Amino acid sequence: MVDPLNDLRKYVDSCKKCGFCKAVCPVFRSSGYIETAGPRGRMLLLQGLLEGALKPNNYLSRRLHCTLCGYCSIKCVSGLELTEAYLIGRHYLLSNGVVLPGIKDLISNVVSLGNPYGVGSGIKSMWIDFLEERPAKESKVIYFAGCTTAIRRPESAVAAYSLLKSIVGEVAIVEDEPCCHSPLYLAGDWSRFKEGVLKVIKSIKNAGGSVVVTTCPACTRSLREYARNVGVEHDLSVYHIVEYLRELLNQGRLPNLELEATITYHDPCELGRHMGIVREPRELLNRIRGIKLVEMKASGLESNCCGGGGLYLPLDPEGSMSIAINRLNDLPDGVKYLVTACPSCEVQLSRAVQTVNLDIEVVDISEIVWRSLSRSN
Amino acid sequence: MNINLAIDRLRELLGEEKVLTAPEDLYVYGYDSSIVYTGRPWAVIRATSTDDVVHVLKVADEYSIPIIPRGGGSSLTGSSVPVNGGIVLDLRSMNKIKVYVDDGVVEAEAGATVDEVDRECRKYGFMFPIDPASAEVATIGGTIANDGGGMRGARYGTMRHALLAVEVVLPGGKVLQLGSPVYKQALGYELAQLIAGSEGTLGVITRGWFKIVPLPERLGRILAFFNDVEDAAKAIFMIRRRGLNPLILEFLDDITLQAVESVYKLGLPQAAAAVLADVDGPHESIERLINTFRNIFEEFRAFKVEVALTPEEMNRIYMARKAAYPALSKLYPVVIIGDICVPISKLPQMVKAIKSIASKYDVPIAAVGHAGDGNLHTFTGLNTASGDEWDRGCKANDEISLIALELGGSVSAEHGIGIQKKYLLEKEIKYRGSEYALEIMRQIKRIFDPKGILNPGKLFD
Ligand SMILES: Cc1cc2nc3c(=O)[nH]c(=O)nc-3n(C[C@H](O)[C@H](O)[C@H](O)COP(=O)(O)OP(=O)(O)OC[C@H]3O[C@@H](n4cnc5c(N)ncnc54)[C@H](O)[C@@H]3O)c2cc1C
Repeated sequence: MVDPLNDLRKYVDSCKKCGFCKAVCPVFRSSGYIETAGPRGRMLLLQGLLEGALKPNNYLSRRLHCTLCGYCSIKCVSGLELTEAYLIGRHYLLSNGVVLPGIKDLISNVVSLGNPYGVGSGIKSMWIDFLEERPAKESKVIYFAGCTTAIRRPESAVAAYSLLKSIVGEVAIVEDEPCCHSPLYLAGDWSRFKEGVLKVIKSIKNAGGSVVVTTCPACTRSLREYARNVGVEHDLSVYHIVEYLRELLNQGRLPNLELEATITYHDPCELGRHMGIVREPRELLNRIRGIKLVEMKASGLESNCCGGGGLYLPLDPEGSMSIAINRLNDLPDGVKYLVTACPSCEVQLSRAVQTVNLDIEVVDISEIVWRSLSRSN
Repeated sequence: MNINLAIDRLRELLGEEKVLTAPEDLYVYGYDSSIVYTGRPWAVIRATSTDDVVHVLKVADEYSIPIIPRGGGSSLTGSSVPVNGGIVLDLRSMNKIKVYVDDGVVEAEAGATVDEVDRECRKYGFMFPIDPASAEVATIGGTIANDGGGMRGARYGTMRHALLAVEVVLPGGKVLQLGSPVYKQALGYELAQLIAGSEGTLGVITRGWFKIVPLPERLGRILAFFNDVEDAAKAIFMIRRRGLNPLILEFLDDITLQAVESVYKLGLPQAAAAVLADVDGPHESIERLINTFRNIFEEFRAFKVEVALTPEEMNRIYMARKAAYPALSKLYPVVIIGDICVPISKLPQMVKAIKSIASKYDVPIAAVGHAGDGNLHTFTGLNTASGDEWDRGCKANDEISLIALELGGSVSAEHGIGIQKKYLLEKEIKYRGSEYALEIMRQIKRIFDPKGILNPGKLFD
């Protein structure tokens, strides 16, 4: 792998220090506007590391752990992908032995238990018990639930699997599904990520899979983007479920969908800003008869973050929740469902809704589509 | 001076979390948006109330510690850089805003951004008249202190023109309200206005009261392209001579248009210059006004005129202007932003001079102007902020300022002096044969800040 500090130079040298990125940074806001906690601050910290003026340490690492929402890059006048720079910085720090306690636990959970939450594999696969029949062990199409969906939002996993099965017929899941290892990539532990993602690819192939459908944008990115970043090439077609369903829709394979409800849609940062998947979920939702989709006050590439990404949550649960609550300010009036397409966003926003006691249900897009399919049939 | 004692004292008074001393924080707060100026403060204090500011200025006075007030840190001249150490006083967390709709006044704490204030005013059908391009980052305190302006400058002026009253804290902790929050006041020396443009050297601003203006009933936008800069300039003069008062009137030169087109592919034609105008007024007047502008542009041989009446269309054609700095920023790792003002009649001469300076120093310079008030910004694209190329860029920038002076203009329109333009300020004052004005400024500084602890090293020595 190349020298991370060298990789940082192009970002640091092109940063104009204009600070326009700060205006949209949720972590800058939740920190109480500490310059060091904003994107320009992070770029300056990286500059300090490059210059040798700052040394790798926990505080610096803590500051590089934002939500990686990527809104700063949208604002960057130089067009820099700033989150890439933060990740190179994290990788550099980890390579120099700097690992924050909360992150250390997370890494060891992924490595030893196969999920970041520290639960046994039995718990992760419990959602399968709720399916009408045991899923196939081999198929061309694999539903990859991912740790967060399987453990934190099992009902979404059930809905996604059932939905896929009812439309495409044969869908398998990987036995003892491994973690996609994205937390290791985000923590900067790229060599163990590489080992991990290779295992994931192997397990999918062993199950006969060539098409992988996920409900978690982090899993999608891990297999699609991070794998390539660490030099792992593979021939799997990796889809987030909204892309896959949209493709089925284009092929005329989506059955009639019907649900009477006014809903809004929260763009997960990883899906929208990072992968550019903004139109697909809307096309899908608009396809459901009876649904009235009202946009949030900030949406698409300019959507606000839920606070749940980038490994920020375990380091600052309070800040993370304040970001989620802030996101609720963007809700339009009179909506029954807040739909999203990422289990982390769903967990975060559900907690926020409970905290401020709002009468709105946060659901995954697969659940909404599944409900509208079940209803209409 | 015992900095450690002072910091301990401040920790006691304000609480641990408001006092930052980690090397990482000190490094980051050593920068603003200027390119080469940097320093290292001894501590950073994050004030959340006027009381906090009072505590800080008492302790700073007692221990003679430099205080560098800071808002968004978006200054382009190094004015918020702690060049001599000291304590950076970050006011960004003081951001409460209150609109007095019936009085047409907004009260805002120093750390609110201009954009936050504007958005609050819009909830009541008003807007904040001053609109710097950096509004999402620039704070009320910093923008008063730099006397910032924006595209609406021809109509509403700079920050000082909207400012009615200001609350400041002086070294030692004295709190003063200068001016009253009413539209007219004849109270002797205009001390509130003195704070505008003082760049943190006279007092720490904690809040301000401003005039606000009603949102236009309707807007229209028009963008015209010319093959000759002189034609564009003549069209601009004619707009004013015919008594028209557009909300914004912007000038873009060929280098800007090329840069924007090469990065954003908007379909802009090749042109020597473009002029962008926003007209506002009652619903039924907009088409008529737009036609008047179109006729003037065509009279002066505009070869293409685009009109936008819906928000979407308006956003599209506004990109030609809005994308100027981002386009240059994407093309060059380093961009020097210049800021001068010339009499409006001298705009074509100034643009010509910029072109010859660019070729003399062999650096690309794009010129974009608030043509309505004679304020031109230049963007000098460079590959590095060091060595010969950087020197040439800086020399070109300085020479542009000096030509502005010769044309009867000013070396600084809305970005202030900071460190970068100290010698140019002196030059301008001398050029006018008013050296004593500088002495008056120094004496005023001594009255407000006898120990010289407020933002030392800025404006003048
Ligand atoms: C890309 C870009 C575009 C820009 N466009 C414009 C533009 O269109 N128009 C324009 O006018 N400017 C523009 N600027 C310059 C800059 O944004 C303005 O000068 C802005 O008003 C500074 O506000 P700030 O809060 O960032 O101040 P800072 O940079 O934090 O401080 C600026 C000065 O004000 C002092 N100060 C800050 N807060 C206080 C306070 N509370 N009390 C006393 N002194 C204080 C500081 O000590 C310093 O001297 C631009 C800057 C950038 C980077």
